[in-house]
Amino acid sequence: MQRVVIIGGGQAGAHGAMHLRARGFMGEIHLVHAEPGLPYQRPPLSKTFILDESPPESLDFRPAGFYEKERITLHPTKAVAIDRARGEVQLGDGTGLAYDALILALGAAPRPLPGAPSSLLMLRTREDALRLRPRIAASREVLIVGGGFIGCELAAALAGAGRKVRLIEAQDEVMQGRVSPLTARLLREALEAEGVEVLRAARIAAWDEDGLGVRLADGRALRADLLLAATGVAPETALAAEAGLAVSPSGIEAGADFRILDPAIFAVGDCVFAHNLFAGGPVRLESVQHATDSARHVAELLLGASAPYRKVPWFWSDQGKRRLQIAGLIAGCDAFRIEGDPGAMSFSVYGYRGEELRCVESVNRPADHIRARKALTEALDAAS
Amino acid sequence: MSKVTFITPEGERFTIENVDGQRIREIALEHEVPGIVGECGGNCMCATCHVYVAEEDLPRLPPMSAEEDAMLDNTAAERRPNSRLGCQIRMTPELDGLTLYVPDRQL
Ligand SMILES: Cc1cc2nc3c(=O)[nH]c(=O)nc-3n(C[C@H](O)[C@H](O)[C@H](O)COP(=O)(O)OP(=O)(O)OC[C@H]3O[C@@H](n4cnc5c(N)ncnc54)[C@H](O)[C@@H]3O)c2cc1C
Ligand code: FES
Repeated sequence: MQRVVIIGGGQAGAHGAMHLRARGFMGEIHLVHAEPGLPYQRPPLSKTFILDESPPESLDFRPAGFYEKERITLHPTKAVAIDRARGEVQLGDGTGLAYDALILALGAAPRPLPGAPSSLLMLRTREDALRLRPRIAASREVLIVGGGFIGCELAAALAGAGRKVRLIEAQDEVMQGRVSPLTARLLREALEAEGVEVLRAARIAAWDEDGLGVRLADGRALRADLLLAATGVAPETALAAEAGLAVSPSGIEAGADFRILDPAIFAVGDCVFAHNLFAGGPVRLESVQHATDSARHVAELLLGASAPYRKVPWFWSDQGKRRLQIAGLIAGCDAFRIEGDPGAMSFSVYGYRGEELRCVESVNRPADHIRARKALTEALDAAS
Repeated sequence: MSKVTFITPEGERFTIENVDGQRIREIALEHEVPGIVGECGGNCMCATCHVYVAEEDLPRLPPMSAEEDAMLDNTAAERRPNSRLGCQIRMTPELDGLTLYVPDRQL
């Protein structure tokens, strides 16, 4: 193996490159990184970075010198095509980059919203956040469309900074399907107690031309001096599809080892829809944990390892003073049990599928979270 | 004008000066001290920024939060009484001269 090319310098791509080197890979590592600046982490964007003054570089995974020292070549451009027959990636700057192994770490991008104006503000990248900062600083009333994790984080952060926040959610509850109904309700009530007005089952019928307001299906017109859409992302699959690889709306399709049909190509992180041992089927996961672990797994494979990918998913979401930590997956859970003190915002919800513990959501209960990670890992090891 | 010293398992020393206000994890990454991974970005979720604090420095350290304590139960190298997470400690003049040992693994 001479040359590994990684497309996408996000959480997965950057950590995959670092891990290859840390484990002693001697060949060339090329990281095609289309965003401005060095590879960086996204989680602070919706929690602190949009509101504070920290410099953009504070989000960088590593300083520039690191990539030089570790001989990780950064290509600050987009990959525009994959020529599988020649084993080459075509870059936006017109050059070609041959590979022995190719890792697709393309991530996901905000799903386009039908009817929404092109000026609509969203938050996925550091550039998005930098554009938002002055808008937030100048705002008093904010409309957030989408009550997922990021929408709830933004609502808590902005309300904490004194903005009047309204959160528009199309479903009956925030974070629906992502956390248990109990946790969703408790976290929503906490937002409401902080002054956030949460409009549930609120469908948008039309968007104002200037990107600052919406009309709901029930006729209500809502406007603010800032409107942010946090309505979810779609996996980046176009590059793979154009190269003839199997993709679906769920992502780039891969087997349990993140291998796809072409044996020289792998897909990791937010863009992949892969069989997952813990899930018991194919899933696409959006988390720092999955991005990092999947990329490291492929790095290990390239270095000759053969152990199957066997990781218990974990995730976190900071909503103001409330830290939600999740171990496992909520999908398939049919019974829930709560422990702790919801009144004091310190509780864990245990989710079961039949008798089997599958998911633990902890709010301000870090010890429960770590115990859960361990218990789920032990159970998975015992079962496989 | 505080300084901090990292000592790797191989005995290599990295002394970094003028670090007041910065977190141990950021200092290590910024100065390319090997053996600190910090994959969760300093969010107290991964325990891959684990360090061992020199015994004589322990009394000077600020107490750990419940979160750090919990996460330290999840380190790759064994947890010891002097284990801390690099992302949870910010350098202050009171910590000037702190010595930290990098564990032999973080994963
Ligand atoms: C605001 C926000 C908050 C979040 N908070 C949390 C959190 O609290 N906890 C958590 O676990 N997760 C969180 N996440 C999710 C987490 O950041 C993602 O799951 C993770 O970044 C996925 O990593 P990735 O490398 O797969 O994709 P990404 O980080 O999206 O990186 C993909 C990269 O590939 C690049 N790319 C795409 N196509 C090409 C091409 N053709 N050529 C070159 N480059 C290309 C993209 O520009 C991008 O830089 C958050 C995400 C966001 C946006
Ligand atoms: S960097 Fe993840 S716990 Fe410190």
